[in-house]
Amino acid sequence: MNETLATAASGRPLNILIVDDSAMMRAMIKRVAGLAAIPIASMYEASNGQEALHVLESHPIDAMFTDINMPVMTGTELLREIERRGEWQNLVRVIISTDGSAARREEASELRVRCYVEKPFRPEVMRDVLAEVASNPDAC
Amino acid sequence: MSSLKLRRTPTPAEHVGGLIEALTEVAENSFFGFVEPVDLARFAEMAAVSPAWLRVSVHFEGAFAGWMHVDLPEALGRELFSAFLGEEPSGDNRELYDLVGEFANMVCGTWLTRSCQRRQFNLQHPDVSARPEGWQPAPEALDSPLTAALNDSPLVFWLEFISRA
Repeated sequence: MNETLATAASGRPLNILIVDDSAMMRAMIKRVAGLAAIPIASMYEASNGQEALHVLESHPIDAMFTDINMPVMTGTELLREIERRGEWQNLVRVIISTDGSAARREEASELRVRCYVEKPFRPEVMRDVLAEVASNPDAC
Repeated sequence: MSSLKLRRTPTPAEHVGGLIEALTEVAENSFFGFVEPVDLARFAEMAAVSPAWLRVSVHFEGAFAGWMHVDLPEALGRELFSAFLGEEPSGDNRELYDLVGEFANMVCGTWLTRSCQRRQFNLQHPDVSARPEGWQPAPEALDSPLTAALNDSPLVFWLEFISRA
């Protein structure tokens, strides 16, 4: 069992990182996460991939929800850097993006993305994804 | 909506149908809103009683490139904010601008995804600005605008494509 599975199984609260250049989208995801019936220890935020790397370097993050199109460092560049560095093997990676193209989804699967959520989404979709990530990180 | 396979620069008229579908999907799924297309006369009636306007522009680049623009009343932006976050925007316009930028970003991304399933596009951070006091939109001067009502408030979308040499 990997560390994240162990986290979910043990009920230990998750540390979640939300990466999006829209502060309002981050606020909305945080709000839905707060309403979901999953144990959350802390929710961290970053407005681009570079900021996200700083958070990952300084906090034990269990799951990361990232947009793709962002200034400074995109979500795809962030995921490539995570793969290259190999320090966060157990990190659950979820993309939340308006770009739901087949090309982008194929690219995401190569970067070990567990779930791909297309914007616009209904709040209950995000709630369900959070619940799945917490209870069964291999789902989605 | 059919997936376009274009080797030429598309025209705005080809994408009006795709835009209204994308707007409807975004409004219904994320903003609990109701969208209906309106003609220019009806749009002008609704616009005349909307004093303050915002413009959002999203630059996209991929199989083709250009901008999607939308003009909407500031009051509609505030309504969208409340629907999205369940609270009123603060007095700080940055929050409101961020939200209407995200709204336009979602419409643009949804339109491009549905139009070109096999191609990926890069979208730049939305540019949001307030129109001057007393300004009114003039969709009749635009090339194939989409005039619509969202929760009975007017908004107009239009596309600008960058010609390929």
